[in-house]
Amino acid sequence: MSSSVSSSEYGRAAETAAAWLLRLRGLRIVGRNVHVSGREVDLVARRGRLLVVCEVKARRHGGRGGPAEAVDARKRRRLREAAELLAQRDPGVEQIRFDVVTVNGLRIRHVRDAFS
Amino acid sequence: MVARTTTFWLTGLDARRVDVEAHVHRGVPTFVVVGLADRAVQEARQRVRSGITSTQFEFPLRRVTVNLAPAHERKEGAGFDLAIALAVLGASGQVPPARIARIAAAAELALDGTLRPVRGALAMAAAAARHDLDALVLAPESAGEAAAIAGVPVMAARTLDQVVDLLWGRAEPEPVPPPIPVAAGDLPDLADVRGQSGARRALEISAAGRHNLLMVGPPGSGKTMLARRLPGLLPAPSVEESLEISRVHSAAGLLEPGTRLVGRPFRAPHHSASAAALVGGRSLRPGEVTLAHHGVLFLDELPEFSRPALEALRVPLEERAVTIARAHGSISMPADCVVVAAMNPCPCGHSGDPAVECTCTAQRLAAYVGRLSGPLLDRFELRVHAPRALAHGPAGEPSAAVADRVAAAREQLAAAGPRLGEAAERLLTRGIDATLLSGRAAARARAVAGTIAALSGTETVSAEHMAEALAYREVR
Repeated sequence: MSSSVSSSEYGRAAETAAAWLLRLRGLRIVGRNVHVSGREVDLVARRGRLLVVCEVKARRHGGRGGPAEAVDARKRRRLREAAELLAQRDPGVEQIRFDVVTVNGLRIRHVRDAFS
Repeated sequence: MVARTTTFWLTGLDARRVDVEAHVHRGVPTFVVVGLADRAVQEARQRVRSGITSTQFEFPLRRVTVNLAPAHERKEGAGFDLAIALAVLGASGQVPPARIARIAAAAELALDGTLRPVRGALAMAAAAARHDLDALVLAPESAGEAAAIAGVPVMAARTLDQVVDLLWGRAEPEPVPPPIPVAAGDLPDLADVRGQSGARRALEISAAGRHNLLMVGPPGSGKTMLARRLPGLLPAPSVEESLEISRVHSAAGLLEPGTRLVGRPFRAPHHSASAAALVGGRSLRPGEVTLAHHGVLFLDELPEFSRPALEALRVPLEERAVTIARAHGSISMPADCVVVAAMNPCPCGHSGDPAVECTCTAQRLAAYVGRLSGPLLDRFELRVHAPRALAHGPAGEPSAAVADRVAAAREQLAAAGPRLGEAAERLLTRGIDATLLSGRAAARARAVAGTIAALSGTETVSAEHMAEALAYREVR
């Protein structure tokens, strides 16, 4: 992408791309940038009784490291807490999965069940 | 949903039942194992997760809680992996919970879902039969030895996939061949030992009456050769004895896969062995005296063993069993073996040797002999000198001939205890009165005299028999 795009615009574009990727994988997007008691979730998706909590990592300049490194222990804990609250609101949820989508220029990668 | 299955864990030689319960419920995915599990069991979580995901199954994206009951007993080891995996699969509806409830499984899981063998499969099969379970699932390497136990079908499987196919009835269990009997290897023959008539005689008495033997002699006189020939003089173990021997070796992880031991063990620990190595205790594994159960424990260079190691042997020698007390309760292991020990007469080894002069000072000699406590020496009811032997002496009697006499004597001893003749009784009383003999020593002398009488084919112990028995106590 060109450098004329601002950082926040790039991030939003990456999230849109990630949302489309999840849709292609058969998931229904139920929320973007969802705030649950101070914790933010980039994408929330559903498929049947499965709730997917997705973190989008956008990197403009060819970042290093895998998605596991991109989401550190603190972030993972906050996502778990957020998932807990989301699941409590919806009794239809039985399974919870944590995914990570990395957007690196035009390369988009979806990691299912990235951590638990 | 909750699913249950069973596994076993080994303390000493006993397999204790552990009920594995898995509960899968909604919530953020976590995997918790409770029930006083040690590190190796906690690490089972990683192996179970990988084992399940790398096969045809899915690890549930839910909260998974596994409980190991009874919860108050501390549990160790990696043998719980398979049972935990099956319980998790059962609780998530991937195997029928009813099928796993009545079976036991014991195997470690590799990361690719392959089953790895566990120690003590023989004891586990016996326990599974006792608890009336429908089947015991094991890795093929452990299944062979467990097949020696009638009363519970043993199912062998190579992978977690295969186990599940068996449970769904999609595959027939692999037939488990009965264990191959393995003898202790070629037993050396007594005919190879030249001279040493005194020590040979003592060896024969030791074999017939299971008396402990101490040989004192210069280096190279053939003490070790003689000791190695003792298992060949003992009658072949009975089927029960053979199973017990196999169970001990299985628990120690020393049994070759798919075999059953039908020979008598001969254990010769090095004199640097610790007390724990000799009597057991280290992570509740059997020690040398238990490994020598129904066989021979040979202690070469007896005074070189550490004092605590030797003293630790005293009680097992008396009780013919080892009891280890731990904070979490005590365990008991059998230790019914004949102990043969060898030592030099002095540190340089040449005391009493007509050819070489002894160079030891009185002080060194006293220190050497002082390492053996009186009570320990008392446990050796047969003590003989094994003098320097001529390398070109006449060949000795072959083992087979001696073994025949030993078998006959054992039969006679088993049929009727020996009766002490009047003269023998008088001789023994005189020994006790002269305070040469303690109560235990007198009882042992009586037993040895009885064995000697049985070897000569008579039921009544004569004065001569008693005199020989008492003479074996004279040496040092």
